[in-house]
Amino acid sequence: MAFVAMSLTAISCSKDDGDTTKPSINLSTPAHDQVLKIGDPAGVLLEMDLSDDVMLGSYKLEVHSNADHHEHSLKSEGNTDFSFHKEYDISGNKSIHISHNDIVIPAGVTEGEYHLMVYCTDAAGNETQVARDIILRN
Amino acid sequence: MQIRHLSVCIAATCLTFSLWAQEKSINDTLHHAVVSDSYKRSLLKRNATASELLEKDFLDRHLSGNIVQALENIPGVQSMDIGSSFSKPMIRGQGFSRIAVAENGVKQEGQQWGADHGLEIDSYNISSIEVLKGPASLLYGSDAMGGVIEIHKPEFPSKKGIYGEAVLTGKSVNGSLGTSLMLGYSSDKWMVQGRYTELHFGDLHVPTDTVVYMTVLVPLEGRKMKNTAGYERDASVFASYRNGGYKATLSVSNAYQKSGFFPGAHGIPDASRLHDDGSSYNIELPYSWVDHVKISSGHQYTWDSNILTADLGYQYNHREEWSAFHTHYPGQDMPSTDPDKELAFMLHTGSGTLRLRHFHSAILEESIGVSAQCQWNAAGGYSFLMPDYRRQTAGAFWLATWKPTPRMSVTGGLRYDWGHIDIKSHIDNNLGDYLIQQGYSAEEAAKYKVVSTATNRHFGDFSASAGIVWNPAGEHLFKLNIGRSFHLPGANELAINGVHHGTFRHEQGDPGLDSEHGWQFDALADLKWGRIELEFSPFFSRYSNYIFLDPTGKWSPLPHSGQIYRYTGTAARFWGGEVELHVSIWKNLKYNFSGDYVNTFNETSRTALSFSPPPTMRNILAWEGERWGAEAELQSIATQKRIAHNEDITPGATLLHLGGHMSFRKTGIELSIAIRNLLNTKYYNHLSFYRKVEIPEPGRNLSITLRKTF
Repeated sequence: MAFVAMSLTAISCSKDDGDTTKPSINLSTPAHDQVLKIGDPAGVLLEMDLSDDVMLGSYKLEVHSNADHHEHSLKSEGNTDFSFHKEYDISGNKSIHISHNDIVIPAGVTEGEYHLMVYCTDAAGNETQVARDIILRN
Repeated sequence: MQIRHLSVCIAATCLTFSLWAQEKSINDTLHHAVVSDSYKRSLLKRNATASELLEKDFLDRHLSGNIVQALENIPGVQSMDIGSSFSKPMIRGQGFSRIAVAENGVKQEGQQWGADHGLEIDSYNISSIEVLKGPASLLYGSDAMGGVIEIHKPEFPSKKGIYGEAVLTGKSVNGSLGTSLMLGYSSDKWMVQGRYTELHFGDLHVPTDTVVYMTVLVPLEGRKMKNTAGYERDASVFASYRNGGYKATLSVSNAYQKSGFFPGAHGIPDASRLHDDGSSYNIELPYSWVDHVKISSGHQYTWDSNILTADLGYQYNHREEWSAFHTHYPGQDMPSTDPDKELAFMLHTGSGTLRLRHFHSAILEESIGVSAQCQWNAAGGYSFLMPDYRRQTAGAFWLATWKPTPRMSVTGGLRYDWGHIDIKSHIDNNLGDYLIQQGYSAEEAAKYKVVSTATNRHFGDFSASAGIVWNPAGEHLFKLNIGRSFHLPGANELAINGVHHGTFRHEQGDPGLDSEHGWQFDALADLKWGRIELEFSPFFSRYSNYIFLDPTGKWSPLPHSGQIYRYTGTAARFWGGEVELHVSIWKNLKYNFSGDYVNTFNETSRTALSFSPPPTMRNILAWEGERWGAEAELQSIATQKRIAHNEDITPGATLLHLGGHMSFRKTGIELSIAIRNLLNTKYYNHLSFYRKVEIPEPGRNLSITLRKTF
């Protein structure tokens, strides 16, 4: 009896009101395999729409080399691979259009295939990520 | 150095672990190996918690995958698969190190906390297996909070002299071919048997051409998962001696498994690494292998109204993961030896239990005992995941059983355990330099380069249980149990700080975590009326401190990782149950229904806990004749909408399975055939390691097994 009572109590109060819906990333620019110019002072145009059903949290951009298709056998010396990372707070928004040129590729970095990663969280900690292949050329 | 630690461990331990095994030995001497319904019921009546027994006949006919997959036939038990060959068990929504698997009285110790580690046990070397679906800390200590899977020791065969078994098996879904040979000799006092098993399998076939992972379209050429081939090689010897009131067993076993990792699930997916290499059986980098050695010995001495048992065990689990040398931070030099050895785990475990059972009278018995376990883990490889650590646990317990009438038994017990864990720190200076170079502050770099925090913790916690088994009339059976269990935090939960490549997350331990503990209730009603048997087993548990990986919303500075996940304690609830219905329709025609449901709830996030098994139903129509049998099964898996943060909803599926077996009396050969997923349905398993890579479950699988016993 006690068991049944406890179970019923448990069932009645176990309301799933936690948010498990992930935010969405709609990355329009740069496009897949887009060639980006090294040393362009204007930077790379990044355009995307982020949205969540409850509340967005923050997003993070990351660029790293994919020259060896993620085997990363790194030569420790003379490494001039481009890398970039930056975090942005977008809390308070349910949806937001992002457009900026924060990623600036300085002259002298290694040409080749890179990954652009976009990570986005909502207020509850749900996370979405998008990986995009990009190509850096002089 | 290693050897010295080891001998200290073993010496300090001198006591093993299995309680159940001994309890059973008593029953066994009474019943010998008579495998009958009444024997099964008498076993099940022993425990006040819901339990089930699978016997050799059943296992022989349902071993179309591995042993864990065969256990899925028990409602409430799930298999967490890593491809089609390796799996780990889950009971009522609890898995990893929260449940214990014991073989020959010794709890199996591998890397059970890890998502891509299976159970290193020879599936063919199992005579019968019992599953306890409730808390069992009282008998098994810390790790049996969610239940126990106990593989029984082999019995003295009814036949004296030479006996044996030869098995040949094949599976279509991964082109697997295997054999298992057993040869034994028994006399009145002695039995000794040896077994050798070898299984080879090719790349796994899945019913899809592409998978989508992190928005990247990953092609599966030839509908095969490249580099998922592997093999398994197991050898074991078991000996038993009995003389008057003394009985002893010795078991030595070795299980070796090697298999490739699907490159698409090892890092960021990249189509260029997934081109068909023309071979289905090759194992290329990345791959893993694991070697598990286990030695156990059990002793039992019966005199007057006492039974004294001692069980000792030593095991060594050695796992390595190999992947072409890579580093995410410049500065790390390629190791001069084994440059592609990414990770190694070497875990030594010594364990022992000593127990005295005293029968005051026919209606009252008491047991007291002590048990201890000592572990020592060393890590290797150019990458880092699990720290070096030492862990000791010891416990003392008291149990009593009172049988006021032959139809009722009341059991209760108390146990206290001490635990100590000493985790070494590990600092990655290359990572520190990289973070500085990336523009992070010196303070942050100093924090994140500590990939394992030195942790030295002592724990102490108690377990208790009280239960009743009542057989009011006829064959009806009722059980009611309440128990308190606990679970010590693992080394990973306490100390790690880095990207776990198996889950692709930055996981952070918390050295201040307390042990997990909670109260569990479970009940069972088994009703039998003539041709109908109905079983209903509900459960409810609440943990005041249940450790889960909490997404912090804070971005990790490490490359290729999103936010940081931190091991955090929360209040959590589990409830659910199983229903079974068995109907004898006509002659040997039977209808079986089973269904299970688990609801998990994290009171902090107000969501489900991760890896919540979806509700499942099985409708089975079976003909069980003397010489042949056949069955058709309709398995319905519900959509799992109740998910934890960053899990995906897994759609449900309806699957059709067929099976049949026939014995040829003259030759002593038994043929079993099974077709799993007859309709080649594309579906996902919420509990599969490959679920997050959106790789569906294997398609149609024809398995054929030929078995000759003599």
